[in-house]
Amino acid sequence: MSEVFQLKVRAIAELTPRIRSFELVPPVRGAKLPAFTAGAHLTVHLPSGLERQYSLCNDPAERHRYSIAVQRETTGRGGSDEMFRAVHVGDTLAVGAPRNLFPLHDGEDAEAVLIAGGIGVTPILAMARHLSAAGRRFSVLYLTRDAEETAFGEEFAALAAAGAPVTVHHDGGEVARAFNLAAFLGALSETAHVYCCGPAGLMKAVATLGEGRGERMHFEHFSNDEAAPRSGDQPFVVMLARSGRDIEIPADRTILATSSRQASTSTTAAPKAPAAPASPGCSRASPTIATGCSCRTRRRTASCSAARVPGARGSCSTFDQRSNGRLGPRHRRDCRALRHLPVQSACAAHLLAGEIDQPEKFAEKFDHIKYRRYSFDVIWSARDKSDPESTVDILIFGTISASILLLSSIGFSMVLKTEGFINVAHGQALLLGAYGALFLNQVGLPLWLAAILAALGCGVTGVVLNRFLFRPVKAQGILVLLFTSVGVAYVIYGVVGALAGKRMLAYDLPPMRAWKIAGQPFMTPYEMAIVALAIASALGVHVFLTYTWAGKSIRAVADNEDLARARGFNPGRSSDIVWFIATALAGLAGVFLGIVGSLHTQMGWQQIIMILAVTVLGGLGSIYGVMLASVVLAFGIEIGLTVVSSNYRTGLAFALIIVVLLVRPGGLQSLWGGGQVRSH
Amino acid sequence: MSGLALFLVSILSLGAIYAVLCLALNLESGVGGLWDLGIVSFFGVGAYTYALLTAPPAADYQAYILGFDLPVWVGAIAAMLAGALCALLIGPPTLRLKREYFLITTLAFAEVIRQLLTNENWLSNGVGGIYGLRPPFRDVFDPATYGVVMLGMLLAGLAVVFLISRHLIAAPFGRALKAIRENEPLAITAGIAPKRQNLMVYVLAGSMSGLAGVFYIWFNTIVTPGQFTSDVTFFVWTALIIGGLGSLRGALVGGFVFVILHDMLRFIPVSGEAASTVSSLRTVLIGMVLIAILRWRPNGIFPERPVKFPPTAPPVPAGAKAMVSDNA
Repeated sequence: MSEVFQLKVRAIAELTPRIRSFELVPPVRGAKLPAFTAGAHLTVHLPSGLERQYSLCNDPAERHRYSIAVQRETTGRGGSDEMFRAVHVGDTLAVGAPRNLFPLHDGEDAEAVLIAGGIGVTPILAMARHLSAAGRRFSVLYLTRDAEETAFGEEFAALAAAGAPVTVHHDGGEVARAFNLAAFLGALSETAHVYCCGPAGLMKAVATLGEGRGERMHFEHFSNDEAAPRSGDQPFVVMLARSGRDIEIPADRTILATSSRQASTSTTAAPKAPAAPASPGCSRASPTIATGCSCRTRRRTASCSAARVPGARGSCSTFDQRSNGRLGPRHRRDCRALRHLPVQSACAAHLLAGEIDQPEKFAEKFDHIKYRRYSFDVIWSARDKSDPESTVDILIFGTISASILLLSSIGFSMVLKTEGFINVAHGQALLLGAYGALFLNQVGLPLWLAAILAALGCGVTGVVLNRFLFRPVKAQGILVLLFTSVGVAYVIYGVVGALAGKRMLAYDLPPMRAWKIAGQPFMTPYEMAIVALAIASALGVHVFLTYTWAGKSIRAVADNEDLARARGFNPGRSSDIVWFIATALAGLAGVFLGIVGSLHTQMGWQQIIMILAVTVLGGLGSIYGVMLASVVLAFGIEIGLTVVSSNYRTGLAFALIIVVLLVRPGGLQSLWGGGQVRSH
Repeated sequence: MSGLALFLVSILSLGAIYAVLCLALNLESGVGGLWDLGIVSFFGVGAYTYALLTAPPAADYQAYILGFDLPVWVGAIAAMLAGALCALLIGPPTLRLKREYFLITTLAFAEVIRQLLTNENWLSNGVGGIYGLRPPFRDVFDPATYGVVMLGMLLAGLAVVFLISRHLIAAPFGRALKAIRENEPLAITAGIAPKRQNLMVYVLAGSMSGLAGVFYIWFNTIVTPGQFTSDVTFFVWTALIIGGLGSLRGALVGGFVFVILHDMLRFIPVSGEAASTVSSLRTVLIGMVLIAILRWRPNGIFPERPVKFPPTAPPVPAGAKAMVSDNA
């Protein structure tokens, strides 16, 4: 949950004709603001809904105020303009807590060299103030066009007067007067850390000149304008996993702008002038409910596509809010390629995986990514409304969705049947599996092995939870069990969040192209494997329950525990088996979810909602009902999404179960089970 | 005011809001037997109704309906009515369902409502929400002391809800609800109509939660769909379980205890990077407390106390009568 504070604008100062500083204070006098460290930035939620990041430039020791400086960008997308136009002294601004993606190195003796260009001075000033106060060695190089354009000139003069080596250089916009960076960087000691924030050109130059320093180079990218071509942009090739085509993207074009023209005749692609994509409505192509990775979020559509820069990092992404159409089916498929990108470009996958219905959070991730050194493309697409969703698409995506949904829900249903309560922690078992596999994957295990080990680990966790947390309170009734599982869910969610952080992650998977059937793209090998494994697991559960002794004992205990005990079954043992299988399957489903989408801490909560929908639809505790319901729900949503906006993904699922329950209160199982309704 | 005092005022204000929600949930789920996982629906509907009625008309960069700039009290009454109306619409179809089905269906409605608020930009400015909603008497008081004034108003509101709640529970209405909760067939034979009673309590809880929504806006001055996720429902349930399901005192205390537990860590100064870890650990703490309470004190801090009624025996000698009333 991103926390938003309401801060009052206490003062606005004109630093230069184009730069204003804003001083933000708590609405209640004397209150302390959350602490920040030098280099941190603040997310400002503008009244229009735009979000902008501005580095804090006051001394981090100050707790009573935040200072930011904003340069008005006439070619920007309206964020800075709005700050100038609509924000006045006395107004209340909503801001997120400070975050730092440009921190100073820890207190070694090494000198810090701070290089600022233009408005990039803001984090540098905070750093200089901090270093000066801490008595650490540092020097400042501040490059601007001329004295008039120089914000905080006096502050730096004061630092210089206090003995800090500060160089302010004006180049007047002339090449001849450019600062000799090579000489400056060359003269630095080997151990010095270099911090640079400024225009892309400056940072690129510093990065090139300081290449040998490796981790001692630190950059903060400042521009909000990801769409604008930057110096250093290079053409690259996008591999479209489904259609199998490679499209070369020129350096000054965005991916979608290029690929949409080549790919879809029905695309009336109308990239409107770069208009405010900061509220990212990103469109993940596929409506994979199960994965929670569709990111056709609110603002209509936008799209995404996969980028692969041969031999280099690269990525792309998506968005805009304005385009009013939807993507053509072919695009939708191509877009899915992205998830198979290597981790460097996983940022794009993160975007795609965006929380379906939580664009706020999505925006947070977007910001995070922006501050890392990825090159971005903002791409637009529009689709002619008459372009129908193809049946094949519905079939393919429906199948993948259904598979993961099935795998997630079987275990939940088994626990519900044998233990009699709604295990909310089941969603978090998916989270555990997904992140467990990620950890093992990063340690060096191949993903398939990591997935198996993670699933087994989840299974063991399930048994442990059952023995130590659920079984002792079983006698207290299902409400106590239900909320114990809520507690367990909070604990797992919190622990994973604390260890893994809140950013989106992805598995390191090599890109693969979709197989083709009769010339039509079908599924990628990953998707095929997921579908096959899900079906195999469902069959396995069926065989296990029907033909094995342990399976029979589980069913016996579920039906009548006392009777089963009397007949020599051990209820404790059979409940352990159920928990093991259920949680292990959930862990596996979590890994699959991560493969088709990406990993983020909300995935457990999102998926449990879908699991509940499936379970209710199938009839509570009916394992076969759940199997049918996964398919019905997945396809129902796919078909429904051709009519309503994809923003209503879970809404649609719930609308469906509301209707089913009102018509048949026993769920789908009542179709063949003679309408057995559980009674408690 | 010092930082600590401010923190306390803020925590207590939020606690009061949660306590109102707890009282509402207690009425329907503790006293009545309705396991409602959609209490946030009414909370959200109330908050949005209030915001849309009392906010100024939408500016050119916003989009929301209404915006009548109405006085606070009109907004508050409308919010309660909207909460009740929402319950009246959701109630009849869902109340037919049993326990878990009811639980999940109410959760479903809450999700659908949130998605509507999130996606329908024309309705309520979408995820952007509505900012800068001025709480009552904001201009009358010094900003430095306004926090305390706000806390006073919230506590007064809480007191009113508490008294109404207590009255309802003691009244035949509350006793009928408990009868249905304990033994529905028996209650029916005693002439109680479960459907009617359930719907009534559901609607009542809806309007109380709607009022809590108004308080929440006063406290926050903004309204966004992100504030009304099902997290809130689970939080309120957690608070009520910690306090004691079915017990008035429990509901009252639970709200405050929960908020203190939840926000205790918030004001520890940490760096930006550690903040997300700390907020995760906060969730862990809540989870562990919930598990522990359910394990060792499943009826909460203040368990529901059985009410003893004096036997309505035939007239007895004066001495014996006095003894009976002593016992009661």
